Amino acid sequence: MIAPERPKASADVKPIVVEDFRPPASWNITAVGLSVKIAMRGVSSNRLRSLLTMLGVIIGVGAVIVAIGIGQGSQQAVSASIQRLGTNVLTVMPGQQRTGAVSLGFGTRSTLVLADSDAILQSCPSIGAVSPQVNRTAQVVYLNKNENVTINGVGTSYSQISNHPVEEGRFFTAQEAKSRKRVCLLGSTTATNLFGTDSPVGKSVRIVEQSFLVVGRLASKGGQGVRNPDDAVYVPTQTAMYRLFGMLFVQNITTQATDPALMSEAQDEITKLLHRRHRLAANEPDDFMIFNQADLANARNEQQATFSSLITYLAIVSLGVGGIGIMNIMLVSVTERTREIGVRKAIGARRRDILAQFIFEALMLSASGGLLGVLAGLIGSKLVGASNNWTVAIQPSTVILAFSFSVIVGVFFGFYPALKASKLHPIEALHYE
Amino acid sequence: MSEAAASPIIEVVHVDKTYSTGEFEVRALQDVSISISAGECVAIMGPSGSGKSTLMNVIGCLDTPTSGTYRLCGLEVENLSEDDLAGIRSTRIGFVFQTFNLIPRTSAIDNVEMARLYNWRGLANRREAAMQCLESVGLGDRVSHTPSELSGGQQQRVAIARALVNNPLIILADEPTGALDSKAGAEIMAIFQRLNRQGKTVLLVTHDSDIAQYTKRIVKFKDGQIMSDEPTVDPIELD
Repeated sequence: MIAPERPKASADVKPIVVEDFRPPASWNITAVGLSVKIAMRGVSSNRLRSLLTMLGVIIGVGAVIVAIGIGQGSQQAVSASIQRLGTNVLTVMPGQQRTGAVSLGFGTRSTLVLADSDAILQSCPSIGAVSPQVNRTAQVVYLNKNENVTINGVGTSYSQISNHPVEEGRFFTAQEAKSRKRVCLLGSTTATNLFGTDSPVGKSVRIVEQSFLVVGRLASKGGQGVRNPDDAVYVPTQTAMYRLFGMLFVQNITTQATDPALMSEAQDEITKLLHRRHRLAANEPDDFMIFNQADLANARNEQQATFSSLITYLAIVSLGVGGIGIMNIMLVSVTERTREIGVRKAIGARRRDILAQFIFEALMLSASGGLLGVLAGLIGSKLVGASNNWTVAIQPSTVILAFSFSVIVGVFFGFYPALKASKLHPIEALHYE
Repeated sequence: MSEAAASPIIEVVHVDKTYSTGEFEVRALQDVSISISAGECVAIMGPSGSGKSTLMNVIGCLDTPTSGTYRLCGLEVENLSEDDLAGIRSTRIGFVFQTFNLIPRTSAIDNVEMARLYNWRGLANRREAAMQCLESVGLGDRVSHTPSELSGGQQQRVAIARALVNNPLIILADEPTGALDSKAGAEIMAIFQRLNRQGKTVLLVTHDSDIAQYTKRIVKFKDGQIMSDEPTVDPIELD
């Protein structure tokens, strides 16, 4: 071999030591910050594609917020109604009527009578108060004003059991109830509608062409939809059944246990008593149902709960599809940018630098989608709540939870493409066509 | 004459490199030994598949030899981890490619600055350093242009600025003028010559003997072996 003549070295060569190129541990933190910057550039350079990719996450996160908002709103409504009525209230309702295999729903049978109510109070030691109840809507007239309201036939313990105090005047007495006196109390809304600011106590109103003496006005209880307890007239059950509407059966018996701890005993006692009183054989099913307030409130919110769980499925599916969308677009991106990865590696990017860059890009996509999704969820739950007249409760924790789903989706589905990118060999990546 | 005094920056000793592509084994380098001193300007020539690019990849720490030893500034690199090799590339070596390989839709200065982001000691003043490097290749007025707004020669100059921004010892250029016309190619070679005069060790791979004339030493490859290694006859000095 020919020995070539070499030019003189222009400088002495300093030996390389490992510390020159091996960064200290603290460098990794800096590198993460830089990865975020690099990743942001990657996402913002392709806006439309990024937005379309985010769509699944947007819908998913929005749906999470709506689902939890409706679920919690419904729970709030339930606990509010339990709060209103107390935890120790049991409602006895007639059983459901069946025609062949068709159930017509609870309360469609007439099996409960006033005597059942008296018997419960007398024979069930755990029960402290009862209120047999009926209701119908009717016209109530005062002078030239008239209102269409719910006429509630209630027992003398109604005010105590339902936590609905008398604000002015008095409740009707047991004597008045027994002798079917035409006395009534007005709900606060009805009182205002008929009497304005005047006191209704001592005045006379007409219900179903009969004159009733107003003995009191009940405190406002807060409206709850169609059966607003404030927009109602309260009369003795006996008066309502026999004088106004000609009814033989009560629609429900609201009972109050002496202690919330005795609820299950109270339920047993009532069940045994009514089974015997209704002369049912031992193996015959009950012709009545006993609900506690939570059951009733839950039943009322069943629709809301169903909707909420449907939305939850939508959320899960959307987040999954959104995540796969992100993974897909990240795989495309890695393939498209193979040469870029090669260049970055050639000029010194380590595996973890590339890994971090692509994970952060996926994260950036999903987190931006998450933010938009939070916005969509807030608007969506307002709309759903307003159009169905549902309580929707959105707490900060819900928003944080929904948003963190988007972050998890980003990291989870972004990891594989990023790993793939980081494992590319620099030379092969550089020569990728 | 002063060979012993010049400490070699690159020492390749009996290096073999074998690729296996399916059933075939390709011996890209066969017992190659070469020593390059600091401040040299070397052209590596040969037909495609002769092993010149493979040697370039080994020298650039992009690839490790199958057998043999490669010392860079006295450090044996063949047993280092992938991350350590990346660290060496970012602090010691500047790459220039035939197709420029700039990141699209990204401004010239961001492209240059990017190389500093992977050098843990290059974070401080990285914007200024990128600016200086762009000015040194004559693109001070084009810093915010994206690659698609620049001509081929300008893009290659951005790539050179990127290679310089970490102040490397060695510039490795793989067919740097291959995608350029002869005028732009000569401009690029003038920059390499200037860098060489400033003390950088420049290695370029080319199959174009006209380009090789701009260097001081020509190494010719064939079939994975060095055929000749001689000083350039009548080198052309630009500027």
